[in-house]
Amino acid sequence: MEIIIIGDDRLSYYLGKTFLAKGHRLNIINRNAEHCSYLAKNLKATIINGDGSDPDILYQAGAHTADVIVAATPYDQDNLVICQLSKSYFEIPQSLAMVNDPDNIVVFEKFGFKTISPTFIVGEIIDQLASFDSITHLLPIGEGKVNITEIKLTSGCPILGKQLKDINLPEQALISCIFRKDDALIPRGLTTLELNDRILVITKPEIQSDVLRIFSAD
Amino acid sequence: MKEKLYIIIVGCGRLGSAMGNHLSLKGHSIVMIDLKSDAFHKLNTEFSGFKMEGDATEFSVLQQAKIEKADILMSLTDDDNINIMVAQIAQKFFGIKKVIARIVDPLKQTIYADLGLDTISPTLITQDFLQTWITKG
Repeated sequence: MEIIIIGDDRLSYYLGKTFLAKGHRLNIINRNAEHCSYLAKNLKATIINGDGSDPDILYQAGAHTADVIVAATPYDQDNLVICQLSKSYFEIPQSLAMVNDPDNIVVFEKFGFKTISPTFIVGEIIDQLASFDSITHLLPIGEGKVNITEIKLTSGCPILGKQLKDINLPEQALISCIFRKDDALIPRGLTTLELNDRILVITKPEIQSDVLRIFSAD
Repeated sequence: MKEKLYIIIVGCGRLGSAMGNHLSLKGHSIVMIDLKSDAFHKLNTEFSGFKMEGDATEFSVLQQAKIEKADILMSLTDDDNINIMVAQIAQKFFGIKKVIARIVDPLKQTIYADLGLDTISPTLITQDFLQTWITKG
């Protein structure tokens, strides 16, 4: 596929490396001339120096033939305009926008764009880590519609020794895997939860805090 | 049209402040929004509207400006993309009927005009004027 990335310096470099490794053709637009020469030396990609929300620059970067565009500048207004130009003017089939201000996610979604908000994701993770010690890993997927949470079962946890079928878990949650010592188990109803198990729970975000409460020792 | 309109102007530069001064003098209720409070020095002493320091691409800033009550929103900053975003938020989220975005880039202006946004391009207006002026002989 032919991919265009418009983004801040570090992000476009690492994202670029990943896409190139997967065999895609890559064009990068960056405002910073110095960083453009760095990218040109280190990536097998076409590098264009300029404003990625300028239709002329987008054309130079091959927007009329691209399959995917990633708008990942630090400015939401630029990312929005890039996505709109890509969709309405260049008719690029797929666009992904980085949204810096989480409040703007609704704006991008209203205009029909897929979004990723690092601020939101990191904020959520920090928030959860700060409030529950036993939670060691959190990952929102599917545009934040589902969370994967890893929870360590500590002593005092009310469901220790119980079989899964006896745990009153909300419908929108699922224990998908149990890490026990060096082993990973796919649990069934008769599986018993033990101390120091690390369980992987899939939940809808709106009931996540209810689910965390079930497993926390307080 | 109502006698007294509630108008939000985003960007208090040369154009924004001139419009703010003019419309305030006409008796309309004006809210000026700019990133920097320094910008409000361009408003004259007769200006009787509100001055808000803030980023108009943030929902909360527009809500503080009571955007839902606005009859008109004009986004006149020197950044095309900010104007495009603010005008579209006003149009699509708050249902403001009369919204305009200042867009300097003529190509972008054409594209967004096609998408149903009212736009004004200083470049095209100047170009029109010059073309007419030249043929006047």
